[in-house]
Amino acid sequence: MDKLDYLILSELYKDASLSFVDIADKVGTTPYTVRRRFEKLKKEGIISKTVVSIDLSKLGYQGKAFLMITVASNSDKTQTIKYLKHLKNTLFAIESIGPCDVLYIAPVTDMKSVLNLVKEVKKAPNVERVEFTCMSEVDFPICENFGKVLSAKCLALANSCPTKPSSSE
Amino acid sequence: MKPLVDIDEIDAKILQLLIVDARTSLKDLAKKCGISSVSVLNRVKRLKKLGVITGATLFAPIEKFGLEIAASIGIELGPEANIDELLKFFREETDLMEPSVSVGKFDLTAFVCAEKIASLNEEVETIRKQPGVRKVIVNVWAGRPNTNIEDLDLTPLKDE
Repeated sequence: MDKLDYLILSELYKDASLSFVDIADKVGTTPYTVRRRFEKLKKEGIISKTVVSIDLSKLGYQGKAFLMITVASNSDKTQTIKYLKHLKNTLFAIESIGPCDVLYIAPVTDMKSVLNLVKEVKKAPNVERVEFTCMSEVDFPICENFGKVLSAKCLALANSCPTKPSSSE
Repeated sequence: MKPLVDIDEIDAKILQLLIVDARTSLKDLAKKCGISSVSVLNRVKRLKKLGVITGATLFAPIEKFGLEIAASIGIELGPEANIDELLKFFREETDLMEPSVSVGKFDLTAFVCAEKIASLNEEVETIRKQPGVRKVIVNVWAGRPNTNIEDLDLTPLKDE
């Protein structure tokens, strides 16, 4: 990865729906180069996905449930994750090192949907205990400062790159 | 409760396609929804105007940027804490992601990405030093997050 790659990623973190023309304008190159770089980054797995951001409150969601799940000792966490991943609306399920074994996030509409969610999560294999926190954040898939922080990070990486363009182009 | 916006089946379909790939062209959206590109454009414009679509974001494996550690942070606050001040501080002065007022086990939650254990510790120490913070609980992510965001229920209240 070189300076241009990081600059393109920095713009995409801010707005992943920008056209190649707009990105080219911002980073000072041609749309054709941006397209080629975009395709390269996608092929290398550095760009894994672009997702539209949605204000979930407009659709009736009131927050996100954040569950800390403890699984039975001596059991397979990956089975639990596999089950949770396929629940509807799963924003996030991941193994964790710390006070709990699995973290899980899904948007919720009301008390009834919270109850349902916890009930469904408890059905997952090996689940022993579920602790609950409700986040008031309603941005989907994640709030905009995620993009802001990572955009700044990419910009810093771009600035630490040698300014000479790579010889591949 | 905030009023709901009116989303019909075609709007929902457009949103669904943009969740899968935010860069889907108008042409492709039109084809998959069975309407014209102009109608798609008008619908997307309307969804933006209503504030349903707020932007688009990128998913990338953050270890490629040298961020080896990601963690969820749960914060317990004392009664003296000023939650708005804390939130403002976390948003403006730190690299915490999605700092969110919460209810339940934690009073505030956030995510953090760090280069190494020492930088994670620095972030946690910064949080711990804020007035009103009683306890900071860190859960380090192991592996990649599993998601099912393509299955988001876009009309949650209409199902009832």
